Amino acid sequence: MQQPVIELSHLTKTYGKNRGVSDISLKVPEGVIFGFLGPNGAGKSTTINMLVNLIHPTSGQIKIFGKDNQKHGLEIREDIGFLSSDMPLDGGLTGWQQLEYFGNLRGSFDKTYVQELAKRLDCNLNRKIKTLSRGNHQKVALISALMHKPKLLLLDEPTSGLDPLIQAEFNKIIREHKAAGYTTFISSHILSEIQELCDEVAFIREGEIIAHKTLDELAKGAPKQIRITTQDKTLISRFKKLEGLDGVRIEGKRIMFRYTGHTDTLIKLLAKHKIEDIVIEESDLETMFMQFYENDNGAK
Amino acid sequence: MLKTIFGKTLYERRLSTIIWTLAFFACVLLIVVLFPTFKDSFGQALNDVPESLKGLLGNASDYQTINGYVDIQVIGQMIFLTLILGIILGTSLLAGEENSRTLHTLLVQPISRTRIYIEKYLAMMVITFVAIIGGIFGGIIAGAIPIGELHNTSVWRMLQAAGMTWLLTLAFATLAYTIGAITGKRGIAGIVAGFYAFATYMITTLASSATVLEKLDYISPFHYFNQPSVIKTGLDSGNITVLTAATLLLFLIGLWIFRKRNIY
Repeated sequence: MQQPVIELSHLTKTYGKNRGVSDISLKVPEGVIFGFLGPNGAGKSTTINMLVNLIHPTSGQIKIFGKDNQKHGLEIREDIGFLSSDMPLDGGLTGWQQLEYFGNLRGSFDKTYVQELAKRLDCNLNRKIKTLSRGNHQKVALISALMHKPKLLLLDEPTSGLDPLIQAEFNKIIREHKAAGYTTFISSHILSEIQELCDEVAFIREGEIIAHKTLDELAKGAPKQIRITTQDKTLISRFKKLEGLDGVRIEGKRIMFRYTGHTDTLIKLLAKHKIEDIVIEESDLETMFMQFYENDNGAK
Repeated sequence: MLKTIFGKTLYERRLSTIIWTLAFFACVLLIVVLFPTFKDSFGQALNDVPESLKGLLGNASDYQTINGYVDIQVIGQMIFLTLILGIILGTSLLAGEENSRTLHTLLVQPISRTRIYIEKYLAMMVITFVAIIGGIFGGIIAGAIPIGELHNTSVWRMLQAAGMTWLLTLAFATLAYTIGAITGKRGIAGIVAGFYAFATYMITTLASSATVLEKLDYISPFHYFNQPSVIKTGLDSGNITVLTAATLLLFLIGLWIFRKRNIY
């Protein structure tokens, strides 16, 4: 089996009596875009900060590229690109100077590639960072994360402040990064962002991982959103026999419900009735996310 | 300049370093060129000052020579300003960056904490050295020339006295730097270093007239500064050793904890 790029084993971080994350175990395979989802305060940033050695685990182990990140943090960070939503940069430097400085500290600075990234992200690197808007500031930070072509990108709420056009270009760059065989770990609470990019996701809630699935696995188990428009009042009574149906709402001629059963069974049943319109939608990540959280709350 | 943390720190502090150096230079120059006036008037007035205050103000005879005058008016007084510079640098270079979170951005690069700690400290050494030696020693020499008081024998001693000023400034700057490295709080580092400077200055000043303070005086960095006067007697190796050892110890404690602690 291929070695995971990130491997968290029973990772725990506490702040005095307060919880950071609790007994997290997770494997992120090579070459995937991995989404790390959770609401604010769930423990996403705590986990990412431990990955880059800003904070140290209370217990448990982190391995990145198969190496213990407490012992080989420096070596590991050579192959990591990091971006957070509010990544502070040196206001007195121009964007170019900032990137040149980071490049020099890393031991290499590929001017051509930096210029290419700046062009793609429409980023003016000649202005002082303190004069930049939040979006442009974020572009410089993004280039700093990408400019050394890292094997692992760690992105903590990365697209905050970026306009939709630049977000689309950002997504394109992340997909190219994946196509080159590299791995991306994105922490976010913006579900649409994760849904568009990620192959796998883990849900974190109150410091604990409550689910870890591929997007395909999630889609399979996820209910479809069905909306039927009909004047046939008998249809609703027939639904009682249908398995995998719940959340039924009736608004005038419209019947809405969630359905996890076979689509074929549903269509055959509907075929016996006069239907004006039918809409079948895949669940979006937000629905799945809410379902996980509701289930987890219920379990508790 | 942007090839190392050391170079970048000097680069971003270039303007403030020039301003501090020029301010020290101008201040000292003004004090020194006033020597002939002070020699005639202020020196005589000190004859009437009580003995207990002479620790602060000096003896009348000190004002009759350029060496004695510089010792009291420049080396003895400018230390307050150099300490302000040292403590500002000590609190801002590491803890200040942690407070503004630019340190986090640096720490996620493949650079060791030891390297960050040492390079920023070296930059602090250089900035204080330039400002103190350039400003204070430069000011003394530039002031002594027009009043015809530049003597070859005293130049070397004045340089030594400026060197001791730098060493004491560095001790307090290191205290601020170390507390900042341990706590990550710029405010705490500044308050502790500032309070320690004020308290120990008072202890050393009053120790000669209050026996209860004599033992406490040994924990005061001022006890090892300019006692005896460097300009009059030259450098004291014991004083240099104590200040250097204390500074080094603080530096190492800060480094040890900074390497291990969480950066939030």
